Amino acid sequence: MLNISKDVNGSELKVSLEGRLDTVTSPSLENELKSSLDGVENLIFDMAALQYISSAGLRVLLSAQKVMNRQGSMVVRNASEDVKEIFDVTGFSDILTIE
Amino acid sequence: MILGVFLLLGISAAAGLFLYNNIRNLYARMANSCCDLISANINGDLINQIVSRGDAFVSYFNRLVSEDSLEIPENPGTFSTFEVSEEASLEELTTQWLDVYYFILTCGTMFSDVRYFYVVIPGEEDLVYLWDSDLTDPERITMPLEHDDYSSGEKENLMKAFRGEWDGAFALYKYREETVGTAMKPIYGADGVVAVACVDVSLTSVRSGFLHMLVNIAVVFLLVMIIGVSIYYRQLRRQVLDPVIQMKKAAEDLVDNLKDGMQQPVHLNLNTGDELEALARSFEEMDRRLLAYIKENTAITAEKERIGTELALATRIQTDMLPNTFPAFPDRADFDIYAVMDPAKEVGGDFYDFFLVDEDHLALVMADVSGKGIPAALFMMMSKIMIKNYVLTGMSPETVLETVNEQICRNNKEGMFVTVWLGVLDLKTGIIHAANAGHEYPFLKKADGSFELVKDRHGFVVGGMEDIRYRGYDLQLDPGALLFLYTDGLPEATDQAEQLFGTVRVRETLRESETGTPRQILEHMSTEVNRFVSDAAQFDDLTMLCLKWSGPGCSAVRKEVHMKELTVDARTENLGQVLAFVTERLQELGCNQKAKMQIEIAVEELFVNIASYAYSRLAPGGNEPDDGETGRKRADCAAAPNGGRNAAVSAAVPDADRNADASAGVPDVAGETLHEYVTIRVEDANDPRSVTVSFFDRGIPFDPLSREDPDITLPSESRAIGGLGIYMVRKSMDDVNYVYKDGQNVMTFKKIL
Repeated sequence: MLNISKDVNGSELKVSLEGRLDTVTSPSLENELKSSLDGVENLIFDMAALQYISSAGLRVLLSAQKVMNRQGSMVVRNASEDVKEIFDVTGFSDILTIE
Repeated sequence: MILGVFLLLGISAAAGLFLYNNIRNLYARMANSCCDLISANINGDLINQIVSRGDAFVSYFNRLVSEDSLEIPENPGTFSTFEVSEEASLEELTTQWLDVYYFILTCGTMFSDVRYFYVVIPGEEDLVYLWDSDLTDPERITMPLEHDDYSSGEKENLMKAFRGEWDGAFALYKYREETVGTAMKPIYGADGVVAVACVDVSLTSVRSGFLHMLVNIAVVFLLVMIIGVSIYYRQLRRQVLDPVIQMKKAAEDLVDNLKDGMQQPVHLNLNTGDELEALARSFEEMDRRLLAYIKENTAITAEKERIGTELALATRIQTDMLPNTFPAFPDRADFDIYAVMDPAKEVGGDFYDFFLVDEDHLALVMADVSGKGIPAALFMMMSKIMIKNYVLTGMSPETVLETVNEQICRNNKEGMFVTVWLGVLDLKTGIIHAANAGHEYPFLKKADGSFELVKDRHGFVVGGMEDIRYRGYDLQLDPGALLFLYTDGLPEATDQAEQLFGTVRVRETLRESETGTPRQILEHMSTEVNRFVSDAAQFDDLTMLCLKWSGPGCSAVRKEVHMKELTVDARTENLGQVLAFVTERLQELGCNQKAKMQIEIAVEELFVNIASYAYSRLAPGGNEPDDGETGRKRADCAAAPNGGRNAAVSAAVPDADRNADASAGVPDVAGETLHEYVTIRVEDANDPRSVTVSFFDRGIPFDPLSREDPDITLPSESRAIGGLGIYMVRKSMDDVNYVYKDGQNVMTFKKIL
């Protein structure tokens, strides 16, 4: 189960994720991002309510990061300790900007 | 030959030139003779008188001409000396003049090629012609005493002749398109030279004749050249070119034959009896030798391959002989054992063994046969079987060694021997009764201590000599103690600087990992040795065994194992169901939040992997989907993907007779899989409290652990997602294994809670 909320503020897009980012739910996030990133210069992921992330979710984050590398910046906020540990283990904490 | 032709040409040209000169001279003499004739016979006095009468004479002459009453002399051209009287009349002068004129004409006709006869008086300004006969037009009579300009070049010569300085020479002029040669002779009067007599001879015919001759010579020369060259060429071709072409063709044929794998040597039909024939013979010889060599080489290679195949087979047999299923005694909680054998060559002489003599006694063997390779391997098999058999009859370790020694010494012409450490652990008391036949000292770690070398009593090696006695000794283990056995390949592992790993390093490395499981201890040792040896070649077999005794408390009773299974179609849609199943179990076990998430992620990664690829209809080497994990390649089902040289293979598949429920969930169809299932099994255990999740599928054999870890230090642009899931599993779980057994991929991970 994944709820995606989007909050557009000029060239800034905040995406809040609630629930799980796994194999089943990642495609929906991927679709959302595909259509929403045009013209976005700041992309913010709010993961306060994200309980779970697997490699499928990491993949979506990676491609979002690659896109934003070309057109602006991306940050990840409020990730839980467990999620942050996953970022550490996989080396994603070096790729993503985590606040 | 060319030289000869050129010589001929040269000679011909020289001859021609010589001839030409001669002819020219001939003409000159002829002309001069003519001149002589005239000058000798012309009366100088006549000329003087004519000249002195001058205009009078001319007008008289003209009058006669106009009246057309010039009398041609009766006998023109007869040779009579012309006399002239002292004071001749004009009439007489004219008659005389005409006489001379016709005389000259007649003279001229006597010689061929004479063009002009003329007698002139060369003056400073111009020429005065006395007589001028043009033999090309003899009818015309030219007037005497006519003035004319000099033609080019003749003035100087005429003046010379007039002065009497010219004699006999021959001057060449171009006159009216002809080359003429002029001979000149002075005519003397009473007071010296009065006039010059000239004869012009045409040399055209001479020249043209000469030219003709040159042309002929050239043509002949050319013909001779052509013929000569053709003959020469034909000769060359036959002697050199054809043989060479033949050889070239033979060389090409040779190469083609070799390429096509044909075996006939080429044959050269060369019999020129010279060096080329010798070359051809050598060539044929080379070809024959080449073919023979290739044949031999092919046979050798085939033999090598055959031996290689057999060796590979032998390796497998040997590997299978040593107990290599771990955990070896999953239902025993009172001890844990792990062992590894890594041969230097394909087959080795080291071995270990362990087996339960009875419920309460565990036998441990560590041995090292002298030598390496096949001979050592054969000896090893024999020793291992013997030792086990005798131990199982209940003999004490020292008696076993004595008995085995006797047996081996009896049939040991090769003089091979083996070092053995043999011990039997009483699982109730923790006492190991052991005997050591020349083998490395074991290491022992007491529960509250560190690994120490045990300098036990050494007997002689087994197979060395008959009638050897061995003495047993006892080691007391306390609950939680560890025993480490190994062969000399470990302390004697050598790096590139020829330094030995050494027992001190062994001890230190053991101590670094001594809080871990036997498996962890051996893995750590392996890593350290590999790092030490790095690029140097492995010289000796590397064999180790580690045992942990936990005490009789957690006794020989079956460990408490609870297990639940779920079987679903291998489809990603079923992920939710699978996760729900697993989390429910975890909930029941009171698993903490973090471990729960980690286990869930591990389950998701593995399940999705199986659902995506295990049953995919990919042809071998077909397109692989590039999202996430790389697809599995259809491996040779006969070869276990995890079959390596390392004999430590892990399996978490319980024996079929113990968990009859297990197989119920998985279709028992040998060969084709009709349903694409995957079974997820969750087991929990105590001491330590842990959860083990296993995946069973009958899809394409594939070992996810065989993939290399992704490089997690790469920047985002270079990162790949492939391999990340498995990596996460490995990192978060305590024990991850894969095995392909009974037609199933079995993927297992364990988390200690």
